[in-house]
Amino acid sequence: MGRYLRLYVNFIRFSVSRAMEFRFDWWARIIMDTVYYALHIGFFKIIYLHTGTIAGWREDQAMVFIAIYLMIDAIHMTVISGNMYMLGRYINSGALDYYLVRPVSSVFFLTLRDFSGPSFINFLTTIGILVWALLSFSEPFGPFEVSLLVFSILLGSLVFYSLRVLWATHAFWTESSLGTDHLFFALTDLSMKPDGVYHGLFRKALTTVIPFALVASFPARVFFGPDRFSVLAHLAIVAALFFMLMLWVWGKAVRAYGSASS
Amino acid sequence: MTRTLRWALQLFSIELRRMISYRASFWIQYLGNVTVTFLVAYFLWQAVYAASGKSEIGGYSFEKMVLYYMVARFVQRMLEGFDFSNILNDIYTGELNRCIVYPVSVVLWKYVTSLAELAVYGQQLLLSLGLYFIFLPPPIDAHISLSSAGMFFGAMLLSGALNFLCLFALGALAFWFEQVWTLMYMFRFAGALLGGAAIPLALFPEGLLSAARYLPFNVIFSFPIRALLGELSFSEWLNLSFLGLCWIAAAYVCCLFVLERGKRQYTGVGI
Repeated sequence: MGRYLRLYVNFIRFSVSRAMEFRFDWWARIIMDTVYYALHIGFFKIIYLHTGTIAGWREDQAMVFIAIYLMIDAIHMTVISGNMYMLGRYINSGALDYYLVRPVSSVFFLTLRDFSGPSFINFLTTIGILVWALLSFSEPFGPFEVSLLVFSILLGSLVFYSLRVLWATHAFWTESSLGTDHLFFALTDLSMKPDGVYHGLFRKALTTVIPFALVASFPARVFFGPDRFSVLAHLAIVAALFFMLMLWVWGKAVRAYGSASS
Repeated sequence: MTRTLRWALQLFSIELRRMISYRASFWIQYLGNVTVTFLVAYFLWQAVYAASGKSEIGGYSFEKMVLYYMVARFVQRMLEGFDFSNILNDIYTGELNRCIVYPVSVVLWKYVTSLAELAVYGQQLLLSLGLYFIFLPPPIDAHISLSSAGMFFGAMLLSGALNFLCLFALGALAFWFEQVWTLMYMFRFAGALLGGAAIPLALFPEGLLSAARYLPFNVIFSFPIRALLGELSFSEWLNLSFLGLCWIAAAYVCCLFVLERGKRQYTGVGI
């Protein structure tokens, strides 16, 4: 565990020093994500000019929800996005060989090696957005609710991480992830809306077998209550199951790797 | 003139064949995007209309709102045809050398390439609208007709040209900076909100709307969508076309300026 922690600290040091070489890109990424955050907040602000609630959520609740979504997105962009972008290319070119032979867990190395410094700054911005949303929240809450919220955001991030890695593993068999990466990002649109807007079997599917809708909505539900513990249990079970499924599929995928270069 | 037209047609045809050669990826993206766009728009706006108790929001019925999102997604997709990474990569890898040494305009070369993608995604839009109207009745407040299709075609040409020129000018900043791809996303994010691709401009508060009307994003996104849905009278269409031409002229001047200054910086990797 200590070894992996030390390794991860080194990943961060190398990634940040590499990113700092491209100063323009560093600052442009920060501004780009700020525009992205404005787009999402603006979207909900404009809708709430025309309605009092969406699927039972008031504007202040929707702002907490969108802040959670942006925070999970920032964690994804900081920790795994760059790695997943490269994974399909490594598989396609055979460069993955050099990563698989290293004496360290391949899932750890290949999904967490690249740490995005500019996105980490954006993650700090999303903390600011969440604080702003919580300060505007009209119901009373205390440290207990905030602790539950932080814990459930981590669970939501784990679900998102597992989904992203699971999705990317198909490249081990198909040897390319170019078209399907776009499809994954299209599917994340389902996470950007409160889960209450979906209904019927579709909603059940989106909160269990393809759990895009619970990524940000369930942490918000945990914070809002009143059924916070059943929602938290649901979120924790899905997060654990998907994480285990991801590790199992990853193992199978690595064994199926044909290696283009050898 | 004839010679330029001939090579432009040849380049268009090569690019078209290149695009449709990756059929699996092409159709996976298409089906996935259409399905998710439809589902998200349907469920979200159903919840909004139900909660507001209104049958119309900003002049849009629920059915028209869903159709708006479908058309908006396709307009965005057609415009994504000009992924400005191709000018970036040309600068970084030295591929721009061949554009420079040929007796043709670099801007025109890249524009014709992007037109091929615009044409392919245009076909997808037609196919999707056909399927949409087979399964769902056309909204009574959307007036799609031959004349609105003609206006859409004209609007799309202006929108495509303006989008291309803006992204080209931003992409050409790669002469000076490494890694400028973020600018493309910034442009798209800003355009999605201020151009009405994420939410119709008619729903904007008055202050924001009056500013957004004159931005290039209005011409790029909202103009073709509204033209197809039959929301524009001919005089409104002419006004927006004029606005589009003004922005195109401004963007073209920027493009030439950045390109000419950039060429002086260009080291031409591989020469």
